[in-house]
Amino acid sequence: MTTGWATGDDGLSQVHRQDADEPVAVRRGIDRRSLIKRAAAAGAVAWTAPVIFDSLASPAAAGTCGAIFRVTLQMRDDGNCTALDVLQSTAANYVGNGACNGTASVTPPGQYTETVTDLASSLTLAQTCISLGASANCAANSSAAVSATLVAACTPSSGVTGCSTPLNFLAAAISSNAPNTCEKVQRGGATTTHITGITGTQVDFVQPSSTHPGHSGSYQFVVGCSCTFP
Amino acid sequence: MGALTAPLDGAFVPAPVSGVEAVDADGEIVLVDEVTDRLHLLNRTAALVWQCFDGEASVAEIAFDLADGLGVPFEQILGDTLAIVADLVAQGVCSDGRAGSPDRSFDIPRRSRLLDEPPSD
Repeated sequence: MTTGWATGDDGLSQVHRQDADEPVAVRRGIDRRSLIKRAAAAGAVAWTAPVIFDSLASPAAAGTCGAIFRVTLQMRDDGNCTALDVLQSTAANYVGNGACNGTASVTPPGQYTETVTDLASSLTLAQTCISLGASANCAANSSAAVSATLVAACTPSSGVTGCSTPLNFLAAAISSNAPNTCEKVQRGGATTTHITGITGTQVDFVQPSSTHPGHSGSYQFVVGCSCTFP
Repeated sequence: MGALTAPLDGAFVPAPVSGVEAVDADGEIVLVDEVTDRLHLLNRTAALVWQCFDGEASVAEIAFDLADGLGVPFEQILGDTLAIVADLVAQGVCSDGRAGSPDRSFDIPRRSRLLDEPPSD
């Protein structure tokens, strides 16, 4: 691994790539005791509790999208994955029939700061560009595995400005009653019991096996348009 | 985040993990973790402690030298040093040198890809 110190433009900062087998002090020609004594002599360190002031995501990790939209789909009694109903998402009530009722909608990962547009309930499922297959598994009282994918070369026909392909899933949620399920996953984050995978183009669910009618649940998706990824 | 391979006590041998850059700015240090794309800002005391990590000296040895050099009670320095080492291990930037440094070389991203096309998944 590359080693060595380089003085920054400000004449003060120094950058060094640490290696476990290459102690800083040794490489700088100073042993540990000399380093400490020098710091003490310079008055640079009056002992206070050593702490990590802050830990944050690097600006280099930022991503951007041309637009971001959110879709909420209600499960159906017949479980027909091709005819899910689009719900109006709101921040306070993103799924009207599940345990997430009254909680905030799922949001994109923190590095995406664009405004999220909620698609209106007037749209059809096809207009959301999301497909959950043709099976009858999309009912809340099912325990089947269901995968959501993005329709190729599709952008929402209305409601979102500045959206161009490719689309990518940024986050997803699932909600149902009895048992109460309110799970949210962001891309790059940990999966959950009922959201078992999320990639840019696919979200994998395991249906919550609710004892309520098959419509007592919802999915929610956050989709980015023409995004860059860290 | 980092995982302990042994109890974190005075015998723990702190070592920076690969893929972490230390940026020294006027006494404070920013640790740049290229694998996780996280930054960790250390205060001056933590920066001094960090610079003592060589993968060979134990926490107790480092604390002894700090106590001797700075004229602060050993017990106080040992407790503070164990606490910051635990934090650094939890952040995944420090490991136990007795177990060898975890190989993260394959996880270090090539910076030039940041502005390239999105992944194909």
